[in-house]
Amino acid sequence: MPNVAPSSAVAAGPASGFEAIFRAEVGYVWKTLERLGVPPRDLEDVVHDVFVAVYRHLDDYDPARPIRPWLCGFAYRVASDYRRLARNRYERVGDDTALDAASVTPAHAEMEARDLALRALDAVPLERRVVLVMHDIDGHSVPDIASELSIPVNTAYSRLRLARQEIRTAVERLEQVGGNP
Amino acid sequence: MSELEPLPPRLSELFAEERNRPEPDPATTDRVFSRLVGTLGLPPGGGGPGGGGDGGGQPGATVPPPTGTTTGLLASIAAKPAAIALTAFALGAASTALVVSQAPTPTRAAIEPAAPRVVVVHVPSSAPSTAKDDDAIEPEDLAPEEKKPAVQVDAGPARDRSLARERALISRARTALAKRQGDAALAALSAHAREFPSGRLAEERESLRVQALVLRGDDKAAAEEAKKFEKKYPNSLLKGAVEQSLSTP
Repeated sequence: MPNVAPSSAVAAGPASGFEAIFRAEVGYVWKTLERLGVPPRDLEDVVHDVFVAVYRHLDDYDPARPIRPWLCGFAYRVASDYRRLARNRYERVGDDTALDAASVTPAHAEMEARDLALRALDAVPLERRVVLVMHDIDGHSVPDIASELSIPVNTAYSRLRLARQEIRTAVERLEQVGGNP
Repeated sequence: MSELEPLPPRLSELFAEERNRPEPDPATTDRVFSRLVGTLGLPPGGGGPGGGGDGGGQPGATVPPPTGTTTGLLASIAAKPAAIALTAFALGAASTALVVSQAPTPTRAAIEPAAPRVVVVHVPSSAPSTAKDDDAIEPEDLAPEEKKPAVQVDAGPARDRSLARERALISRARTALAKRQGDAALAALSAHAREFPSGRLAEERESLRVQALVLRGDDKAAAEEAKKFEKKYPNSLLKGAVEQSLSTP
C-alpha cells in the first residue's frame, strides 16, 4: 500500500506533493507497467512518461479517492500508446538487435526473461488485462476500476471474467510446455 | 450479472507470487526522478520551494531546462563530470523540447521555464530544418493520406509518431549511458541513425555517440566523432557535453 497520504501530498502543492507521490508509488507503477507488457529495457522510459502525465493532471486528482487506481489509469493509457509504437519499433530494430547481440550483457538478457505469471498475462489483451491486474492482483473494486478506465461497471465485470478465462488457459498451456511460450 | 466466481487456486497462487514482484532499486528510482526534474522543470530535489512550486509551476508547462537556463545546465555539467550520464537525460529532454516547439523553418525557439520568464535559445543554423526532416521520414512511416500535405499545416499524428519513435530510441541510448552500457547505447544510436538519418534528434544522437564511445574506451573514435560534431554543429547547445565527455576519465 502507498506509504504516503495522497491527500496531504497533493495538498502540499504540485511540485512538493508530486515528489512524495512519486517516491511512494513508483514501485507500484513500475510493477503495473511490467504486468501490462512493457519490457524491462523500456520500463524506465515508460515510468517517466507515466509520471509526466500524472504531474500534468495532478490538479484533477480527487484526494478522497484511492490513488492507485488513478495511477493505474495513467499507466494503462501510456502502456497502450507505448505498445502501439513498440510493435513497429521492434520490427524495425529487430535486425539491429541481432547485429549487436554480442554486446548484450547477461543482465540485459535476464531482463528479457519473464516469469510464468507475466507470460500468461501477455496472452490477455490489454483492455482486459488491465482489469484483471487491477482487480485480482491489486485488489481494487470493480466500480473503482470502471470509474478510472471510464467504462461501464458491467463491461468491467465482463472483461474481468473473460480475462480470467484467458489467463487460465494461458497458464495451462504454458505449464504443459514446461513454462515456455 | 456482477457476481464473480472465486479465482481458481492455481491463479490465486500465481497472483500471490506476482504481488511480491521486486520494485526498482533506489538508484533506478533516483534516475527516473532526475529525468522528471529535467522534463518537468521541477526545482532540484523536486520538493523544495522555488520555480516549480505552487505559485510558479504549472503542471502543463512547456518543458524547460532543469536549472532554468541552458547556460546553467552546461555549467553544471562542467562542474560535475561524473554526472555526465544523468545530465545527458536533461539535455535530451531540453533539446527534444526545442524540436517540438519549433516552427516549420525555425532559426530559434523559445523555451518557457516554469517560472514566468522566457529564455530565448538560438538554435544553430546548421541544425537540420524541420522541413527537411519531414522529407526524411520513411515512406512506410506515413499512411498515404498523411503524406498529402506538402505544406506543413498539420503533419499531425504521423509526425508525432515519428518523433515519438525517435525519442524512444534516443531515450534508450540515454538510459544505457546512465547504466554505463556503452555498447547498448551505441546499438540504440545506430538504430536511430538507420531509421532517421537526418532526423529531428540527429544532433542529440551524434552528441550521445561521442559519450558512448568514450564510455566504451574508444577514445580515438570519440575524438573523431567529436570533431565531426563540432564542425557540423558549431553552435550546438550540446557542444559542452561533448567536450566534457572527452575530458571525463
